[in-house]
Formats: sequence, C-alpha cells, structure tokens
Amino acid sequence: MDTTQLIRDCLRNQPAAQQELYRQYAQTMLGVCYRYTKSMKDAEDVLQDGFVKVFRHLHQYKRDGELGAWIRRIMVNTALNFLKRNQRYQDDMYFTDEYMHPVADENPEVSLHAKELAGLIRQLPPGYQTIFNLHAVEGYSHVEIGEMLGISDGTSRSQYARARALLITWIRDYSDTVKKAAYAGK
Amino acid sequence: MPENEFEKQVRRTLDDLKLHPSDRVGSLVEHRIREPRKRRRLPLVLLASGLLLLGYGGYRFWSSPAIRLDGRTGPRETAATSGTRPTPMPARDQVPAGEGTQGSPGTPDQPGRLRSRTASWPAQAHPGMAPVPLRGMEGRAPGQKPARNVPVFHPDPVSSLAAGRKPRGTTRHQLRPPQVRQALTGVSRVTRNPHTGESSPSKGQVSQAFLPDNPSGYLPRWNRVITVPDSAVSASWYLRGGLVPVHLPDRSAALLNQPAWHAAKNSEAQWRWGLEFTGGLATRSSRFLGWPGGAGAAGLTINRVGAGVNGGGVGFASSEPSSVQPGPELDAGFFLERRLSRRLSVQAGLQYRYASDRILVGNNTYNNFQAAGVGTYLVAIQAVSAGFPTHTYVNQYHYLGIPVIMGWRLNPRSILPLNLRVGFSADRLLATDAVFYSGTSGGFYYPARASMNKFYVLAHAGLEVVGSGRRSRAWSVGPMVSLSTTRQVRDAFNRKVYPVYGGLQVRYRLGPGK
Repeated sequence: MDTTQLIRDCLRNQPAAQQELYRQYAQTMLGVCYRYTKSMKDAEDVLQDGFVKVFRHLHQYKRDGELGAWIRRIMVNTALNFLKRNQRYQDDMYFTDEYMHPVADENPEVSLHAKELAGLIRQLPPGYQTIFNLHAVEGYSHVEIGEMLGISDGTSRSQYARARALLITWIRDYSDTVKKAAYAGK
Repeated sequence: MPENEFEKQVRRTLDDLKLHPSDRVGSLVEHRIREPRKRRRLPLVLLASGLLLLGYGGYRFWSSPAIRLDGRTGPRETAATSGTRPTPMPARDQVPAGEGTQGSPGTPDQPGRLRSRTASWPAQAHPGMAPVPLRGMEGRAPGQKPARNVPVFHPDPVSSLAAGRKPRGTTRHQLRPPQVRQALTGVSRVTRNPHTGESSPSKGQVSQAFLPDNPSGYLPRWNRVITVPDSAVSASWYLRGGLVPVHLPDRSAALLNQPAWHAAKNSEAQWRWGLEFTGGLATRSSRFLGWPGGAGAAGLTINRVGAGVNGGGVGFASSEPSSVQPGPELDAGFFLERRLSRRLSVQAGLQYRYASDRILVGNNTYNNFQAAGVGTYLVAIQAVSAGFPTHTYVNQYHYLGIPVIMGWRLNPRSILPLNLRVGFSADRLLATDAVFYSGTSGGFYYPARASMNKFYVLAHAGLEVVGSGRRSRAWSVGPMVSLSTTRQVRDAFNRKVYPVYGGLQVRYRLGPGK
C-alpha cells in the first residue's frame, strides 16, 4: 500500500491501516529501542509507548521527510523519556564532566552482526550507551545531545570518547574470541 | 581507514537490526489507541493552584482591615465593596470632639479611633469658590500663561504650612513639594506577613553512577560482565540468548578506573534566548509586602489646615476617596537564559510593560485650579479633576525594564519541570497620564508626572511549568507576581503607593544564543 494512502487511512482510524503501519515498522523500531535499553521487556515497553505516540500524533507528520525517519525520531525521544523516567536507569545516568583523555584514532573494522554489535552497545553504562547511540548511530551533534539530555556538549564529547574507546576494545576482543572459537571448532 | 569510518560502519551494521516484537505489544498498542485519551491534568492542576494562590494572596492583600487606634481590626469598608457612594465628610466644625478626623488617642474607657482611610470622602470641591486671580495672572485671560518669574507654589501649600514653614517660592518650572512629616501615634494593628514560610528547596539527590573504586566489577548492576573460558564461547550460544562473554583487558579496565569517575559538578554553560509575555492585572498598594510602611503607607494623609484657626489642634484628615481598581497589565520582551547547574538558571533581558489602574474622579476639570484654604497662597495647576467622584479614569503607565530572574528547578527528575522563579528588575517609567490625589481644597486629582519616580526596582516571584518543544525549543507558563520596592510618587504628602502586578507569564525559549 502506498505510504500516503496508508497515512490517510490511519488518520481515519482504520484498524487495518494501523496494523499495516505497525507491521511495516515494528521490527526496525524495536531494534532502535533495543539499543537504548537493557532488556527486551523495556525495549518493548518503549516500542509500545512510541507507537501510541505515532498514531496519536500522525496528523503532525508533515510528509516532508521519510515516514520511517519521523517514527524513528519519536522512538528515540520516547526511549530517552523512558530512561529519564525509569529509576533503574536514572541511577546510572549521572553525567559527569570528566577530564578529556586522548582518544586513539582507531577505526577498527566492524565485522559483527547487527545484534552482536547492539549487544555490545547495550553492555555500556547507560550514560555511555545513550550518548553513543545518539551520536554514532542517530547522527546527533554533541550540542544537540547536550540539549536533549540537559548536559553540556563537553560532557557529551567526553562521554562519547570513553564509550567509543571502550566499545572498540570490546569489539576487538569479541571478534578475537569468535575467531578463536571458530578456529577451535574446525 | 578514514576518520569516522567506525561510526559509519556501526550505523550501517545497526541499520540491519530488526527484532520481532511479541504479539502482546501490537495488541497493547491497538488497545491504547482505541481507548479514550487521558488528559494530562498535572499542568492544569498546577496552573489552577498558582492562580488560586495568586487570587488568595491578592484577596488578603487588598482586604486589609480598617485601622483603629484601639488596636482592634475590623473589616475594611470601601466604597467599592460596600456598594454605596462614599459619605461626604462632615464640615470641620461638625466633627465632634474626640472624633477629629485626624483621630484621637482616646481614653481607656472610650478608645479613640481613626477613620478608615477609604470610608471617608472629603468635602466636595468648594462649590461656590470665587475665582480669585492667581499671582501673575492678574489681567490675563484664563488659559494664558502667567507672567514670568512670578513665584508660584506647589499644589499643596497647606501641607507646607503644616510642616511649620512657609511654602517656598520658586519659579513655575521648579515646582518642588515641601516635605510634610506625617505622624500617627498609637496605631497598633496586627499584620500578617503573607509571604512567610517559603520552604527551602529540597536538597538535590546526588546519584552516583559509578563507584570510584570498583575493584570487583567494572560495570555496575546489570552491566556486570561474565567472563567465561574461550572454549565456551560461540556465536550460536550468544544467539540462543546467552550473555555476551567479554574479557575485559587491562586497557578497558584502565579506562573505567580513571579518577574522573568521581562525581563532579555538572555545569551547562550555554546562553539561550527567548521571548516572554505576561498578561495580568496591575494595581497600586499602599503597603509593601503586606506591612504598613509608616503613617503615609497606612493610607491616611493628614493635611493640617487652618493652623491657628482652631488653635492648631484640629486637623483635616482625608483619605484617598477612590479605591484603586486593578487594570490590565501586559508585558513583552526577550531574555537570555543560562543554566548554571541542573537546578539553577539565571535569566536577564529587556521588557516593555504596559500597566493601568482605574479610579473614580470628579467631573470638573480646570485648566487653572485654585487650591484654596490658605489665604493668599494660591496654586496654579492644570487639568485637575475635582468634585464628586462619578467618572472612571484610567491611569496608564509605560515602562521599560531589565529583569534579572533566577530559576530553581523544584523537581529535577520529573519529565515535567516545575521552576521557582525569583528575581528583580530595574524599570524606567517612559510615559504616563496618571493623576494623583491631593486632599487640599476639598480633594482633587492632578497629573503628577513631574513628581513621580522615574526608576523603579521591582521584586518578582513566580512558578512555571516547562513543556518540551522541538529540539532546543521549550515553552513555559506560570503565575508571576511583581511588587515595586520604589514608591510611585516622591511627594511626602502623597500616600506611599507602590505598583503591584500579577499575572500569567508565558515564555518561549527559541534556542541557543551566540
């Protein structure tokens, strides 16, 4: 079904169209939510809240961009609100102004599968995880991240540098481990 | 490999990430979008509470009890509240002894009393007042300018006499009122400070994300990493839902155990700018922050006239005949805001304010009004309004101010921030057509712009609820009350009145400034 027609039918509250919209984007958006949370249950909660917002605010979609990108922004904002609201995440979301430390200009090759990489990102502390997702994956600038999270852009840069260094280390180790396991299995 | 290649790879890889949600999610989404939407009532409740608080404060502020010498308080009777026209003041010789309009200390058996400041209305402008030519106006037609360098006096020479000195002669353009010290003794009244008991903001909760020294594990809580032997690792094991086994080499441990893990102060130094609008009511108060500010501020103006006529002891007490009714007030301006911490922010800007209030004035207007009652000392005033108060007059003021406001976020963890806002502003009076009352000559209003203060310092207090906008934009709305700490009129014989404003403020933060 054409996207324009799909949106129009959704705005008319046609259940079939709403189900179709959900079916088209649910899997991708669950992947987005999965990266921001620590458990699949939390990811599904965010997905649920996000889709409710999507359907309630679909009339605000101006059709000047891709519908998927618009839904993705809603999912990201919903995930951030979820992290702020959830005490379990809040306890570890305390951002500090750390000293900048030199970050190696390492750009290792990422040969992991999507879920493996997402799993590693989810192992980061919540603060690191959020900022890494926002900057590296969603493409937000540090100034924008600072405004979204209520922190300074310097803090965002610092946290991102730490997250990046940590993740690169983990990716290398994981790749080595998988290679060793594969070698041992042969 | 070029820079940012890592990020591109990560993005490319994660774009393929698709996960199957459980069926429960779809049905819950469907159920939630079908059910009637719950209204978010918290902002409305907060707004209503703020307005109620504002209304209650205004009620307490304006419904102050009448002043009695015996220390008792009673309901204040005003012309506006009683619904009756003010009773004309009896002639001076009809005032019974002991109830002189200036009050009397009374005796233990019969406590004296003062008239309520609004319950009395001075005698009408002298009805049959003969047109006595002013000094410098002899032989000139009405409306013409008086002869140059002829001494004229301030509209209230009576007060000058009461102060024990003759009015100073000065030129027409150097009118300066004489200082009259008003004295009220024996007045005791119970005042209650409506501004007490503001609870200090609760201490911020310091959350410590990461332990400074974490010898056992590198990641807190669910981030704990299980290290398993290499032989146990396989991708299939992971895909079956197991934990990701990761060795933490010394390098990552060093990263995590840097001394910077200690909590540090979070500063967000960035200026943002926005627009603000306020709509509300403006009025004037004879009290500042709820306390009487002395005799003048208590609302009584005693102009001792006829010194020597009645032995100098009988005074002519009058009060402002018309209660001040609030009028509309509108503010508009822009501001720059800077967050100093998670809770604290400071704001400064430029603000235009239009304010007005309503009074009842008489219907007689004179170009050259003669303030009678002191023999040869006559006064030339333009555009006065005397007589029985039948006409509503709107005093209008235009200000330009520089407000400096501190914001304190009361609930830093809530998704709907509530800010307490306190500050001050320096305002400059740009223009006004306000008239003020003088009790001389039976009472009249005159334009007193020359004797009005030009600069005002205002104290502001309010609450605001901040709503999220798109990206860096945010709106906020909440009640704001402003009290002037500067008297409106410099004249000592005028009542000490202070401008007061209250209303609903809407701010819209547009984005980061330069």
